[in-house]
Amino acid sequence: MSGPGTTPDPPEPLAGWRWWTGLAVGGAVGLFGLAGLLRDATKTMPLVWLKWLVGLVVVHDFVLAPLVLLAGRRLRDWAPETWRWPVRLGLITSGVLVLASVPVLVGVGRRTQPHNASVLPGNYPLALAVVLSLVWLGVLALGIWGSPRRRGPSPGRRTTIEETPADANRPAS
Amino acid sequence: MGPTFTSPARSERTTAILGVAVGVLFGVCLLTGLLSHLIQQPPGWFDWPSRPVWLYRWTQGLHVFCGIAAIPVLLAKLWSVYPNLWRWPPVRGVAHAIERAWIVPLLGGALLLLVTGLMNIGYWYGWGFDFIRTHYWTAWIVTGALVVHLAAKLPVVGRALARRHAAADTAADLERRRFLLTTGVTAGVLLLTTAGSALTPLRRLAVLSPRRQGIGPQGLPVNKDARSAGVADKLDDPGWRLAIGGRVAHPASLTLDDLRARMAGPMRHAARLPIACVEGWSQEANWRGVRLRDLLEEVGAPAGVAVRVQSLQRGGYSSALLNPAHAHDPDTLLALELNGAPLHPDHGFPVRLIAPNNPGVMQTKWLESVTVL
Repeated sequence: MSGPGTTPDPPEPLAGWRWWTGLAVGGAVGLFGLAGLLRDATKTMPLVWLKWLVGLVVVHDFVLAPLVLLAGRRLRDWAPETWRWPVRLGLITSGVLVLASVPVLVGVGRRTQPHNASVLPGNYPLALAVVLSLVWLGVLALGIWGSPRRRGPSPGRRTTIEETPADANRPAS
Repeated sequence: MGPTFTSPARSERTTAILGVAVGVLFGVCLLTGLLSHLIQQPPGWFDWPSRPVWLYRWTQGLHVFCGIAAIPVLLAKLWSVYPNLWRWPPVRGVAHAIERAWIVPLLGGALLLLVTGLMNIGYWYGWGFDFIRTHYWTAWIVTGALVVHLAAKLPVVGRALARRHAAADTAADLERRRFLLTTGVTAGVLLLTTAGSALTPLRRLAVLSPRRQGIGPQGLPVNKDARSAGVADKLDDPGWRLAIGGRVAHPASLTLDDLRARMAGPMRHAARLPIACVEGWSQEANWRGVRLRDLLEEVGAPAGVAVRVQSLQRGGYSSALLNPAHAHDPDTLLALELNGAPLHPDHGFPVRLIAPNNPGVMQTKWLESVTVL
């Protein structure tokens, strides 16, 4: 992804004592963990565990991440420049809040702890709606505060993405 | 052919900053998690002190809330390196293949830790395996994979953090700052709406937390209620006695009235101590009862002994070991009252243990015996 006129960074060395020591130490610690997991197999259920581990990678890499990228692209095409970052902030914050609230929204804990009223005591759909409303009020305020009519011309901060130097597009190696 | 990636917010520097943040958050989670493990299953060389009172509470609050804050930070970090998934050719040699292979347990394990941790505090055990053991061993696997990852990436991180971007005021730099700010705001909103289950000044804001301070019998949350623990029918048994035995000169068997009589005398003691759950929530309460060390003196226990307390409950967390520091702390009580009233059944009626700087699961409820070891 290196743009023209930039020197691509050298690939990380993956050689020398630091890499091999790290690999040896990290490998030993990781295998210690794996051995413990396998020794405890009746409780850790390694095959179920593996399904979750691989499943989460697949869901992240091939479902969640593409959806986020697609949403980002749509937003870039649709939203006026001054609203782009406030709306992006709103979408990212809302998305993570919804994801992180799935356990309290689904409320399985109320069924696993039927006689304990202190587990999941809130009205979580309502609470989430209120929190998201506040987030989007913030988005609205940011958008109005940053709009050119209100702020007047300020070329430095209103540079568009199209003017971005090419080297900034280089992903981390 | 893979997709193209155009966001100017992606850069080595963005990734390095987010990577350091994820490393710090996971590092805190590892240390605080290991600490709790050591306290609950102490090896011979480890003696957890009974002071300061707030220490366990703080470590476990840090564990859960650093884990929650890590959700947006990890996702942002993964977004910043996502193009690498589509890089062709996928590997550049044996060492690179090894390095990339370790990313699977690193990423999968890190996601597994966050997902199982988040579900666990919501009492949702939707995966089949035992949470504690799996979370514990997965943490070791992730730690190992993280060390390998750091060995490969530390030079890149150093390079990215040392080098200022050539034009600090470009639009790209603004985009990077905004992206990092967005990640921080998201973590902040998550913390504001959950951390009040431990941080009392924020308690009214904890609207998305699976626990709320002040909500529960006698205004205090409960981990395991009397019915779920299978003790509800045993609590009004007139034959109930608290047996005090083991390495003592005068073993005793005390009725509830015997304990109440002692609470009216010089053994009476009150303490303001927190219940601090490994699941992150904690709350202080006023406890009143009989000092354990006075009772140990009465039955003629040797000085500086460890003590095991046993509950009417069977299985699970039905007994706990108190090391000498906890057994003899002046605030360690066999509590009969909570916030000015007799213990609610869910809080351990007729009598429970409450000790300073002690994990909630070791504050044993519904006591039936105290054994001097």
